[in-house]
Amino acid sequence: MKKILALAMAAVMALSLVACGGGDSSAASDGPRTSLVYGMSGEPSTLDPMNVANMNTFTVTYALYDTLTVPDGNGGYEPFLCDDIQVSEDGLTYTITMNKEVKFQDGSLLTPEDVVYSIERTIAAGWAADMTKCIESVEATDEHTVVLHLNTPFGGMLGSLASPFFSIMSKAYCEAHTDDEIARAPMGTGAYKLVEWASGDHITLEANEDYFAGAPQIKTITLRPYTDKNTGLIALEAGEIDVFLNVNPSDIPTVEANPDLTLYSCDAASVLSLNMNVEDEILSNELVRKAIFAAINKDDIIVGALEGMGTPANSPIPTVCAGYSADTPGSVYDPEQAKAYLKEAGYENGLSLTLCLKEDNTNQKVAQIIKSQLAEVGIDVTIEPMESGAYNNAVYSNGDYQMTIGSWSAMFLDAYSIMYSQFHKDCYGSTGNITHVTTDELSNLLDTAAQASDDQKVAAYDAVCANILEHAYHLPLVYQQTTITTCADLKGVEANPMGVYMLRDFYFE
Amino acid sequence: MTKYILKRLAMMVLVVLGISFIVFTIMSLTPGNAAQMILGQSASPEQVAKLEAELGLDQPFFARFFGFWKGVLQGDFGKSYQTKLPVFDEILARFPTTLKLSTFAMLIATLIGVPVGVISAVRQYSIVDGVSMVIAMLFASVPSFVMGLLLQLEFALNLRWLPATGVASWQSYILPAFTLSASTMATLTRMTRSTMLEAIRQDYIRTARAKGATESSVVLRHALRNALLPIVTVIGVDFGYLLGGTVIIESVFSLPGLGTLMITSIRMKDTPVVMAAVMFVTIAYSLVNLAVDIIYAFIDPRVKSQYAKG
Repeated sequence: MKKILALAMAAVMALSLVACGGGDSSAASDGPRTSLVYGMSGEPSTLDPMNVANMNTFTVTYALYDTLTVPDGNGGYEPFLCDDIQVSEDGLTYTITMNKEVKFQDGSLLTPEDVVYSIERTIAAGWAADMTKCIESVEATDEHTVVLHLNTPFGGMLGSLASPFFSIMSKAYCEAHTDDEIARAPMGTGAYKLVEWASGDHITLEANEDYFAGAPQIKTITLRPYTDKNTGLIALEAGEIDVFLNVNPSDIPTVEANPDLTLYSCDAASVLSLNMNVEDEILSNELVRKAIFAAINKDDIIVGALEGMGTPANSPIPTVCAGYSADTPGSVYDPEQAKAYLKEAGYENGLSLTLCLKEDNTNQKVAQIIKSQLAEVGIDVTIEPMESGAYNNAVYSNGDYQMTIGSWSAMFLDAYSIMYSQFHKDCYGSTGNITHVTTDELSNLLDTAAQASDDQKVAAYDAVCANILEHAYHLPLVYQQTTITTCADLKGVEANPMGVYMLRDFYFE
Repeated sequence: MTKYILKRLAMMVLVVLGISFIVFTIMSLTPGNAAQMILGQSASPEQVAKLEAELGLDQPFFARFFGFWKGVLQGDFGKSYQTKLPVFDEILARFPTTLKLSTFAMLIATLIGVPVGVISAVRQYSIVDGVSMVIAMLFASVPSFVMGLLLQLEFALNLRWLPATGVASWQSYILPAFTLSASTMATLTRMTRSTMLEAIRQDYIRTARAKGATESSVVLRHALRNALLPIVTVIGVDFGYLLGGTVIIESVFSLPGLGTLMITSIRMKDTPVVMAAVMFVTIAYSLVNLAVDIIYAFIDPRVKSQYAKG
């Protein structure tokens, strides 16, 4: 009898025997902690810093590679891999004096040729076109000097050099390996080396003891993907991971009440906004757009959809970007005025519009509140959630939509990074300008702002924002917060607006 | 018997072909573009077109489909659009986790579900019967992600007995496997109970009792053996359900299995990975069902004689 039951399960058992490898358990060692487990929101598809557009990945590439400049903590940038950067008076020539001591992880010295090669590779890769198109040429003039020639002054150049796209790679290594190999086996000057990448499970980094800026205190970092935020929080509370970004807003009180965890937050380098397609038959009427502007109450969105996390946005520029000003006037909530605009436009009997969005809980709640607010002034909104591929097709590739909401992010902390691609006529459609505004007036203002030096930047972007508000092209809604939650004994952490972290700055007490 | 098995294997090839065609069609028809997904929103149309050509996405549908199969027949599943890694390696790295998880879940479901079902039937309307039927109803109706979260909260966070996420040790599999097994366990318990109840009422059971067989012999040898056929069928069919169910469980417990790979690949329109993953699951499911059909022969002589004929 037992034999029969056993037989019944034989196939199942046999399969399990084939599949069962030994489970390797890794025990935590005693003494001061030198290892960290970092919970990522998703797995990187590549570790080639010049071929990604995913913020997640940048935390890893910043650990493996270094850049010529780093933020100085006061909104400016200071030299990092180099000793000094001189900018000529016309803003067209950047003379970079290299640090002579820096070594790659394979032991070779960093030379100006590597810098030239890296910048040329960035330009060729094309991912950072809005940062690289001002670069005319780059050359190594002697053993320690690199000169960068621009074709037009660009106020965001030092900031661009700090972005992961401008990571410095080894010319010899890159030439000896294919791009696919570099993507999986990175080799840079960074504070950490890649030890292991187990697909879907973890990436292990080990401290580079010869790091030019001093070896980091944490010796081993394991990065694990957690695609589900609830799971990430549980892993954090159970002590299985030490760091997790952007827990659900509704979980923030729980995290703050937990003495084992510390939550850091700051304004994100993004703006939750309502975009309108000005080429649409109805929305090409400026009065309709103005009516929508006046009908939306941002405070209601924050309370109703975002658990009170966030502040009303007054400008399309994120608060943390150079060029932002708190004095920029934003839209004013005035439903009566909205009805008056609609009447003037000939829509006193109401109209119907479609609001599409990438499917996401938060977006959906925001959309519902907008729908009810617009209903009050007589605009009937249909909400159309889309899967991300379909969304990109409709909004970016085909440009066939009426309104959309979404969070648009800066790739580096300069207003240029978020404004130019969204509103310049050269970026029409799929490259970022989904509003489809093509006036020369706005494009010229953006060109002026892009070239503005630091002290003129705010005024230049104020003019841009005023133009956008005047014609009601794009309605910034909310500045959201970005958070990082860590175990309480991890120090050296400071919330980053882009959610990109320098792992070398982390340490345990 | 051999003839039967060969026939089934030939049918399996057709099933895999059919499924691959359906999945390929769905991946092609859904909106979105792999090249655009890889390059991000701000990519220029030229960049997208260039990458499309590189990935072969500019080819017509049937050219791509037959190209895929030509590769498969040569043992090459192609490369992931996203990671550029060979798909086969990626799947091989992920499949063991999924297989371990669903096999473990099946074992839990069978080892608990069948005995509980037998006891409930033998002691019909007793407290044991009532309690186990209520629990079975509960397990069948609570969605797996809810149960997963509840188990994590209790056993990982409160009691700290078991790890909540990952696959660091074999203990990591306990919570996800139990969660995954819950609904199958419930089905099995109820199924065993009802088929056993039916068997117990048969004449041959009365005969067995009359001739003085012990109660355990009556229950296990006479009743259970006859009730086993539908139970084994449920085990076979549910194994496929478990393989599919891991998609949610792996995400809740953050396990590096085929399920999580499939979700990310579907989102990123990574057709080669989705195709290979679905084909792997299909083959595994078909093989298990074949095994179940063979097991019938050992349980039921009537079935065996049929195999011999056809």
